[in-house]
Amino acid sequence: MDGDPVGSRDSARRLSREELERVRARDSEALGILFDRCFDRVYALARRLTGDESSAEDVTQDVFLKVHRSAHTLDPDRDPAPWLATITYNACKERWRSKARREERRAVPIDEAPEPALPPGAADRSPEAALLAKERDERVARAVGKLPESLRTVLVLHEYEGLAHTAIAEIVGLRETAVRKRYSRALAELRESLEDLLR
Amino acid sequence: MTREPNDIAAREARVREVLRASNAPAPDPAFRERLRQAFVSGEIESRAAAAEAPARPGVHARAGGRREGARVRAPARPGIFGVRWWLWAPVAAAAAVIVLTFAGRGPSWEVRAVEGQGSITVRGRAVAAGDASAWAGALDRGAKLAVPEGMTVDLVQGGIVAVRVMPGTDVTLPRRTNRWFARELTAQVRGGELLVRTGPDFPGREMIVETPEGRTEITGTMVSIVRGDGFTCVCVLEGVAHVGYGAGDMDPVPAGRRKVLFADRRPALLDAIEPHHEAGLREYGEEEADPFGR
Repeated sequence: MDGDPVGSRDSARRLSREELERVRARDSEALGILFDRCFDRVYALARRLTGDESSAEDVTQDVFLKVHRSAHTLDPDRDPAPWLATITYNACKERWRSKARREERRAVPIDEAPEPALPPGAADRSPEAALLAKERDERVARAVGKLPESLRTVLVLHEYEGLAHTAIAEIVGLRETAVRKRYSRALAELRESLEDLLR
Repeated sequence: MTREPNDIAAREARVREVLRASNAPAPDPAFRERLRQAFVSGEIESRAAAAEAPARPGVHARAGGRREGARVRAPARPGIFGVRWWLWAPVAAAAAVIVLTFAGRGPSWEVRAVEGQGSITVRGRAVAAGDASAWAGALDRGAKLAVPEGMTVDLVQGGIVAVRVMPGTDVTLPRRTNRWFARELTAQVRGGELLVRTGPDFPGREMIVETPEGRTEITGTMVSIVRGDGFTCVCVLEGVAHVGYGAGDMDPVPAGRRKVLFADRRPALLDAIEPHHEAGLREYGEEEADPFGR
């Protein structure tokens, strides 16, 4: 009913079993391959869940620290993407809980302010088209960022990470039906807030 | 008024389309590179361990406790101040972390001079260039800096390195470096010209300047990195810089020479430094005879 999640397009970038075995042994070349294949995805998930650059960088750093520490527990027969998504979600959850996070939200100093950047591929388009795409991306990011954390998490994990509702249920510790309900509520809220983009 | 179910389903499908059409947020390349280096080398764990050490005194405090059924060790001799020596371990670890964290920090970026009037862009925000106190602090974490035509910005990081950001330059400056670890400096030049001069406290460090065409490794020198449309030109006035398209292609470029890298990856050009670039570097050296305040 809700279509193919976009994350499934990443399947071609999966690491081989041999590469994952080398990651388990903390072989530096294999760690580099894992980093190169997974960094953008981890950062994007952290950024979409936390909503700002500084928090996303902190979370991404935490995730790769945890990956390094527990590399030996990696199952080489399984795609590490859901494992990484779980670690990223847990790191975001820890951050949401922290008092420091609430204090940071009150004031955003200049060195932590999100930097406006043109989206990937923008350079290939006309300036007007690039600007329009950037504005649309910002609108979408703001609307997603305004969702309650419980709804945002489910929406981001499904739409951008490509995880099935059953996998999300495992990550967030809910039943699948609850995840589906949250996903529907998230879409309903976005339907209202992005009304003008849907025409 | 209620909407028809089909209408709602169509709108939800459209929401999904809009979501999926939006681009992934772009990370800061400098952050990515720093994290990659720390992750691949394993340094990420040692740094975290140093940061976490004082947060776990309980582990050490409990170490002397006796568990039911556990083998009892011979009583340890009292150490300094009548306390067993290992009880001081958390204190020593905390002290080491404090020293590493605070005393280990290198000098901040300092604005030496701003020539011209107007705004510069720091981390994506336009700020009055003349009011350095409003933006200089933002440089310590490594920041994108765009200096418009007609303006020049001179910066110095203690006795380590001085840079001049020339008019019309878009650069990411290296973050504030540390004294004892993570001493490497990494900058990116996306357009324009950056003059770099290393200082008396630089030895033992390395500065990498990346451009879309390649990289320059600086270990003690005075160079200019010019990024133009489709090329990068590195001119060396003093010392030696290593310049190339990437690992395996790094050539030493001695004083008085320049190396040009091209976006289409044709063979790099190694030639004598052009007179106007040499003049620009000499002028920088003469104007800032002692930019490090020694």
